[in-house]
Amino acid sequence: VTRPPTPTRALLLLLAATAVAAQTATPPAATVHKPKPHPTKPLPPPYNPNLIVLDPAHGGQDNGANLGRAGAEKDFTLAFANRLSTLLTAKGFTVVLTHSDASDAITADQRVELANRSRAVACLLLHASAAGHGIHLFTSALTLPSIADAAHPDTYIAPWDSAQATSLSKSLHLVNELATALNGLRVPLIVARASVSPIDSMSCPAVALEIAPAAADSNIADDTYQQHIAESVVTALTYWRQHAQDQIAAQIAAQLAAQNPATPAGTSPAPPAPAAKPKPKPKPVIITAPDEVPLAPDNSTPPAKPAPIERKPPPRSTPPPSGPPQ
Amino acid sequence: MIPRYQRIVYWILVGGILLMLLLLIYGCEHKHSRNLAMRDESRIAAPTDLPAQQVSLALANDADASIILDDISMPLPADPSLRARLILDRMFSDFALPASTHPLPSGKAVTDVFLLPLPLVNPGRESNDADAAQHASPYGHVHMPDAQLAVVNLTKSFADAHPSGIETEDLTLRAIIATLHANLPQVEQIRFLVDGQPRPTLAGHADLTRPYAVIDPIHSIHVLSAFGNPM
Repeated sequence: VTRPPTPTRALLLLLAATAVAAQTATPPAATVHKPKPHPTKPLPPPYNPNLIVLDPAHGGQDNGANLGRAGAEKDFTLAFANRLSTLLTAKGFTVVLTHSDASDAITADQRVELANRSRAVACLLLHASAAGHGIHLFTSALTLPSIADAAHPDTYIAPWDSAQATSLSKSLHLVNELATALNGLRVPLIVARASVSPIDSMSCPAVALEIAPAAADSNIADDTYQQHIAESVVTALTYWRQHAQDQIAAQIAAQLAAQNPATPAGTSPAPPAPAAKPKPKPKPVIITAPDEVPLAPDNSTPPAKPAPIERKPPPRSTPPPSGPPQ
Repeated sequence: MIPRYQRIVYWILVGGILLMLLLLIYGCEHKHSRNLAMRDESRIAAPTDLPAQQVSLALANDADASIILDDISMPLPADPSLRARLILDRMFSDFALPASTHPLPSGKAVTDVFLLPLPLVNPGRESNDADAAQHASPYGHVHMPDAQLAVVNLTKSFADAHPSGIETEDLTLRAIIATLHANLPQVEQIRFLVDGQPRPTLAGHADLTRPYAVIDPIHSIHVLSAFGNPM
């Protein structure tokens, strides 16, 4: 029998000793393998309830429609966007315009990119036309995502040219709010669905607002007419913001309830109130938007304090501060 | 000194002259507006021995963004493509009338209408019915056995002169779709070209880059799936 050389034998002995030591070593404490409880961090809201994106149509070489005395459509829509932006800012909104100069040649994809990155609560595409009368509101003509896509919202990726389909139900709610507010102006109001670039690619609740002369003998450049429309739009967006804030609060509470099943939904984790003041029974949380946009988990967001959920009735009974003229 | 009765007669005559003048001006304007309303710049149909057939034309209304179908009788050839073009020509000539509820520029609007069988397959590839059926539903769409795609080739002069606006452009497309759907039920999708080339919009607003599905053209058009272009 030939023995291996001394260095090789020493190496084999060292390996064998290491293996024996690894088998006989005391296993670490069981707490090492115990998964740590995840901190209860609510997912970020899908949109900023105070942010509005205004997209004045056309610009640069694209003049849009010829509005007669009101000039080109690109100038009219930009002026109206500035008027609307002023009123919205006074109401506490943050307004983002896709462009601030009528000579800016901005493409449809650039408008969409700005709108989709901002995660606005509403995107308004402003148009004007000399054809027809009154105000025309349009939502995308896309259909809702299929049932298979709705069943897996976390993995569903909307195509660029039909991203609006995921927000279509919200857009329809938004156009209802706008129609309700604009109905008080006593001008022809048309609500329809059309395929207008670039509304189909926007992932935010989006509505195209087209302004036409109020009547055959009226002028679209009438300052009072534009001001009334702008005030009505601001009123509708104020209601829409309140609705969005309610939805976000309900969503956060539902997420916390799902992460902490012991805590009933809608209750605050704060210490219980003294016995002398018994709290009323918590109301069940109802999420009114079953087709919510899938949320992307973001661990960088600090945990927000869960707020008690109270489904407040919409403030329809109170007259708006700057309501439409009668 | 002019007698009083002569002054009275004088002023009565002056008043009568003024009244007659006003009536004359009103009558001229009324007649002029009537002539304008009845002006028909549509082309006179050539004499033909083709039998007259009942067709449906979509009439759009800018006031309420509505589309209604109106039945008329007109001679039509047997070729479906030619029939479609003649029917659309008649519809656009009605839209060009001064009393139209959806006024459009007069002149030739449609150059050709091509009808292609659906689903579209590569002509260089040997395919049987099973392959065709497989091609028919990559996005969940199932075509009827005789489904067709209508390619409507509009003229550039018509598209350039079309009134610009979301509503008016959308109504024009809906009227074309509704008319084709009513007279050629086998047409399931419609694509628009302008002078044989794709064009982003009709007159700055209505999207022409996608095919329009003929599902319910009266109430809703452009029913696309969430996957986008179903072609």
